[in-house]
This record gives sequence, structure tokens and C-alpha cells, in this order.
Amino acid sequence: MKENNIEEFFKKHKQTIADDGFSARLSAVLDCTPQPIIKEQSNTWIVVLISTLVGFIAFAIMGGYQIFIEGMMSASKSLATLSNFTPEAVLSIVFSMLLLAGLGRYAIKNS
Amino acid sequence: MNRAAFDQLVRTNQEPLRRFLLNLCNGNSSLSDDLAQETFIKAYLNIGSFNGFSKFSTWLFRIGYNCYCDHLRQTQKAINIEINEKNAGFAEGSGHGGNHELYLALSKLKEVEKHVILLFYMEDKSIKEISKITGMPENTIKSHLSRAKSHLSEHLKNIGYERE
Repeated sequence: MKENNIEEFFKKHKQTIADDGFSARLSAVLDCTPQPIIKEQSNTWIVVLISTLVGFIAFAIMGGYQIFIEGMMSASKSLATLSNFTPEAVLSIVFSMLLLAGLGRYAIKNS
Repeated sequence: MNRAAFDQLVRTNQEPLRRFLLNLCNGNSSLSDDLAQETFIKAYLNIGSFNGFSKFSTWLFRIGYNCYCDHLRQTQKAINIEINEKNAGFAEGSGHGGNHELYLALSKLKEVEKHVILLFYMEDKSIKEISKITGMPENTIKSHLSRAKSHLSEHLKNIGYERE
């Protein structure tokens, strides 16, 4: 009952506020206001750069190209021979994916 | 977001925001419209920080609420029942005034209880939304709401508003 009373009280006293030129006045003020600057988070490009560099370095150090190609070839020969996936091959694939994801995100952000 | 889209958001959201601020300001329509205008300008300038995790209206109400709290701090208003009652009487007849019964009832509440009850009953905001707007935990909102309901119920009973 207490709840109903309060609900009814607020329902009864709920005002309807007409625009009365408020939107037009605000629009006039906004016309004189500089366009909002959408700031990009300052650390975004650092994250992308670092992950890209780490990806490249790890890829080069571990002989990524060769292992990647060999891994892909062996994978293509037979999916049953999964034992050919050496840890190095798996790592190179992971870093390649990270590299592509990083570059893709950077490209999307800048498009 | 371009200006046309923002203007559309203004048209959609101006009424609930202005009503909320009007009731917070005890019916002082010129003050509440100034605060509403300040709110929309801040929203426009900071539209890039709206992350879309909550509704636009919730984000807007949060800015409006902060504008009102800043105003309270700037004017060094003492938050007590006597002054609120005085304001409720003073505001009558200024613009959207004439809702004396409502402002008198709100003057019986503590400032924070007033905020919570207005958002909950007048603006139909959920506890979660009120929590986002005021920055208070949901359990705190619930306890403020419970106390506000109790105080308000007592006042309504005293003025003979109780319905069976």
C-alpha cells in the first residue's frame, strides 16, 4: 500500500515539460561551440607498435618463415600427422596470427 | 556523431533531463534550464568518451547530476530541511513551478534520498541505472530508497494522501 501511494503521488505530480525553444537556444549555443575533438587513446599506437615488433622479432629469431612453410606443408600433407607440428611451428603460427590481428586492428582504427 | 544526430538526441532527451533537474532545483526553472544547457554542452564536447556500455540517457543524466552537484558545491548551499522548504516556497510561480505539494514532500527528504527517489519514481530509472548516474553502489541506493519511501510515506499520511 505504501509503495502504491508513493507511485501514485509521483504519477500525479509528473510534469510535462514543453520544449519552449530550449532545443533551438541550445542549438544556437552549440553553433558557437567548437566541434568536439574525438581523442584517440594516446597509448593505442604504442600497444600496436610493440606487439608488431615483438611479433616480427620472435618470428625472425625462431626461423618463423621456414618453420611456418614446413609446418603448413606438412599439415597440408595429412591432417593425421599432427605430430609434425613442432612447438616452434605452433609458436610461429601464433605470432603470425598476432601480427595480422595487430595490423588489422591498426588498419580498422585508422580507416 | 554529427550535429544533426546530436540535435535529435537533444530533442529526445531534453524533457526527462529538464524535469529531473527542475525537481532537483525545487521548481527553479531558469536554474534547471541553465544546468540542462550546461549538461548538453558538456555531453556534446565529450561525446567521444561515451563508450556505449550504458544508454545515452543514463550517461546524460550522470553529466546532469554532476552539474547539479557542482552547482550545489559552488553555491555552498546548506543541505537541510529548513532551506529546502524555503526554496520550495520561493520557487513557486517561477516558470514550471506550481508543484508545491511535490516540492514540499521532497523537502522532507535528505538531499541524497531526493535524488534517488526522483530517479526511481519520476524518471523510471532502475537501481542499476541510478547507480551509474549517481556513482553509488546498488546496495546504498536500495537503502536510501527504502529510507526515502519510509519518510515520504509518513509525510503523505500526514497530509491525508493515504489511499486504501
